[in-house]
Amino acid sequence: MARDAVVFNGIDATTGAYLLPPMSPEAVSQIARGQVLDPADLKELRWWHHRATEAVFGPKEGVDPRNLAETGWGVVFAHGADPAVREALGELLDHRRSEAARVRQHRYREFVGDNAYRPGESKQQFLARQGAGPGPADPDNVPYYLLLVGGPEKIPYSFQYQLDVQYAVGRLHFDTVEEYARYARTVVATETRDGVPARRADFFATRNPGDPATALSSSELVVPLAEQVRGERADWTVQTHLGEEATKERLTRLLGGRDTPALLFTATHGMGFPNGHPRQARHQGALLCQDWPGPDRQQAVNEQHYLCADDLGDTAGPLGLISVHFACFGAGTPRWDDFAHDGSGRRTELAPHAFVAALPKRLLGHPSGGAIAVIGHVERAWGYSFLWPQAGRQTAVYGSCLARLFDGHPIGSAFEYFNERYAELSSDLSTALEDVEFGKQPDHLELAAMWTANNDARGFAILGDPAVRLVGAAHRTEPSHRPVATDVLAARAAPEPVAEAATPGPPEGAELDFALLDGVRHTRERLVSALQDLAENVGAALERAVDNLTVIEVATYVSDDLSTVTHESVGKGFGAGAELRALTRLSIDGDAQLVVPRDLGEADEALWRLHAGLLEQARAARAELVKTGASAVAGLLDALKVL
Amino acid sequence: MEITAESAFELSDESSTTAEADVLGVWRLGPPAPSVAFTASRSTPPEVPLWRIDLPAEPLQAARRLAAGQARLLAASHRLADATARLDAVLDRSRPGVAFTTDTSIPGGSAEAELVGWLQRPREAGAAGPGSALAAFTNRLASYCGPSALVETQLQGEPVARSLLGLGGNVRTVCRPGLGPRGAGLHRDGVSLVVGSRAALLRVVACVTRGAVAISVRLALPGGPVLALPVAWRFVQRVLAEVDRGRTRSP
Repeated sequence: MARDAVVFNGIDATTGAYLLPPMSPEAVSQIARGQVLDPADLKELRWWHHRATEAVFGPKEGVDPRNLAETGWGVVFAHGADPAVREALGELLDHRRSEAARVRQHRYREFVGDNAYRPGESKQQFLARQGAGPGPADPDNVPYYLLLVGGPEKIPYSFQYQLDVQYAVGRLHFDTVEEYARYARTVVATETRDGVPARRADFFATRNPGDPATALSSSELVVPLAEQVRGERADWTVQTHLGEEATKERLTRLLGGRDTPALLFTATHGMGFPNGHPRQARHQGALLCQDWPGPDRQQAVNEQHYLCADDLGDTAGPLGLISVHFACFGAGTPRWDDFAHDGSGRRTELAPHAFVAALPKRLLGHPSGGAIAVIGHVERAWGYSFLWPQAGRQTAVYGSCLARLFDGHPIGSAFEYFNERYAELSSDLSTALEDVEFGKQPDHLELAAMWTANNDARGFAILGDPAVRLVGAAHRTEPSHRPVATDVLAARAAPEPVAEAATPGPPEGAELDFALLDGVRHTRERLVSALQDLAENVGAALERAVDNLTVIEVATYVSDDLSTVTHESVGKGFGAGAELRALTRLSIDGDAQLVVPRDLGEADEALWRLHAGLLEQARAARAELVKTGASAVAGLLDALKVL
Repeated sequence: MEITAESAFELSDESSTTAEADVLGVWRLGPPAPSVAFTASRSTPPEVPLWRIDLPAEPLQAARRLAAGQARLLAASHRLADATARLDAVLDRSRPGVAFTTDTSIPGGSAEAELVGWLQRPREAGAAGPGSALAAFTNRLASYCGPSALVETQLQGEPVARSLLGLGGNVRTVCRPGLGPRGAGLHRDGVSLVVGSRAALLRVVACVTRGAVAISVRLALPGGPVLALPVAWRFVQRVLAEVDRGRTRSP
């Protein structure tokens, strides 16, 4: 196989061959250059990418994504939806209403009747009818967490993709009303009762013989993620099922009964079938296990090789499970191919109609208590989402998503990292395509990587209520207001008195007891003084950083004798004894000014690399440092103002 | 203007004792280095802490030394994330106004056990707890996390590059003309280590203060979070100092 060929997950069940053969970067690049991007979507994606690189993505500032009373919660039905479906979901809707409408009634919304999703509506059109435009979710207009109810023929995947960039979106679609009722009961049960399931996270990854795709997803995605969780979550049991252990029998046990963990992450091929094949609707997206002997056999895949909805009996359900399936078609299949084109450039038809995969539907609607959410991929899944050319393993998006889940974020909030990646890649890709359009020689490998990774990030979807949380995850007692730099600085300038009633009253006599202890008083005074100094120092540094956030300046000098170099001031350059060799000013809107001497020669190559490296580091670290600093100051102020 | 470097932190090596190491286990306190100042004339120089990275001349050893620092920083970051969850777990087992009972699930001698012990004796937590150590640490943090930091890379004791970092990302670097690709790479990695350390120290502050607020609210401690700070600090410090956690194993 050619080096750097693009390898796709997904096996054609009828032939045992790849759904798509490995393709050269040039071929993928050619398809990417033929893609037409919607200008409105693109503009918004760029805005989201810009916002996410400067702050925390999610709902508008000041809204804690973990608190449904602040974020709101809504359910969107398709126009003309069967009223029995709404009735079947009643238990879940009542439960969410009690959380989301606790402070303001309108933060719980049901988009039904006139407000339901209408056929052919774009995201912008739908939101405009509800009084919301682009920008961060304002729960007083439209709630941040939105559950779409209906199949992709009624509410298209494209609507879900775009809405998900701005909101936290999940989808629920079953074939029967009873399954909706079961799902509602499952979610309410897991959120109101203790004990199910255990604090266990399982990672399942096949390594089918002669198959580079699963070899990569096992070693470069699943193993690092499992290690991360092991390292960061000492109070969780982490189990891995890799290679020979990743059998259908093992996976069946994980998906029902006592062996079901709270979190399951699988990386396998997903089954694919020819358009209209009798098994397509039922088995497309099923998970191909280690039982499959590999692509070299080039024979039809046996049903014993993959796990599908039919394999899950009625007796043991995956109660409370959140399952993440990295596999082609793991969440569903669109009608039209997002990837392959016929000779005339038209998209080919993948299936007679778009549908949600049967396996997650079975998991979510299981009669013995089902999963609470499944994350999967609509269309094909690509390796570029965790491996980047020349950069190697890139699992930060997956890792960050999992970290948020373990920190008690609802799954829709944890999933924002995928949405941000989609926004970033779309923005970068469109810029690269524009450059090519205006004459730049295309870098095929880079374009192919950006395009496939863009589609990959877009295709991940949540099936289930986006407000569910990992069972057993941390429940934080943090203040509901998420601090940001500007808030922190404002608070510093004018600290608000805290009402006595805000703090639980001490046991009788205890305060007097403490006040009489000189040691306590002395310690407290020292601490208060030290903390005030610290808050002021970090706050001042932040203030300065925020003032200069619009520009990053990196300057590199040389000097024969470092000890004699003088410095004009912290905000200015070096003076006598140092010679400026490179200066870059990078403004927030992307404008860059670069000053280098005309005689920059080979001797300065190392210096130039140092300069470029420091610039890159500065860009990467700035937002994180300011955010962390703001968080620290907010914590200090919290500690001080309750005095 | 003269920028002094009254506080100096040196990259720890494997032989560093924990007593002189910083809370992350990456840096240790070093002697001030007045000669390192960017000297000029001005009456009141601002204090800028110096982060000094003295590396062996042998390229592989130098790279290993920096990599070890990065690994220690990464481990500390992981343990810091642990500290928050573990503190929450202890508090989850508590109830306001109710004394802690012996919890057999908490190993004796662990950070959790000590925290439970302090919480059973809140009076001692304020009076005899690690408040002094916390005050000293916060004083030091004020300089660690100030507006600027000076990073100096030395090869075999000889300064080869210095960078002045602002919290907002601005960087000014002065280096020797013949720095070479190896020296440039080492200095860039050193700057990265300092930036990461500054961020981690800020996260320590956030973690401790958040923990103190959680303890004071959950247990209705009189006097508010300040009295709970030493206890939260001690807990976080102990978790950070854990060399090797017990880990679950794959089947």
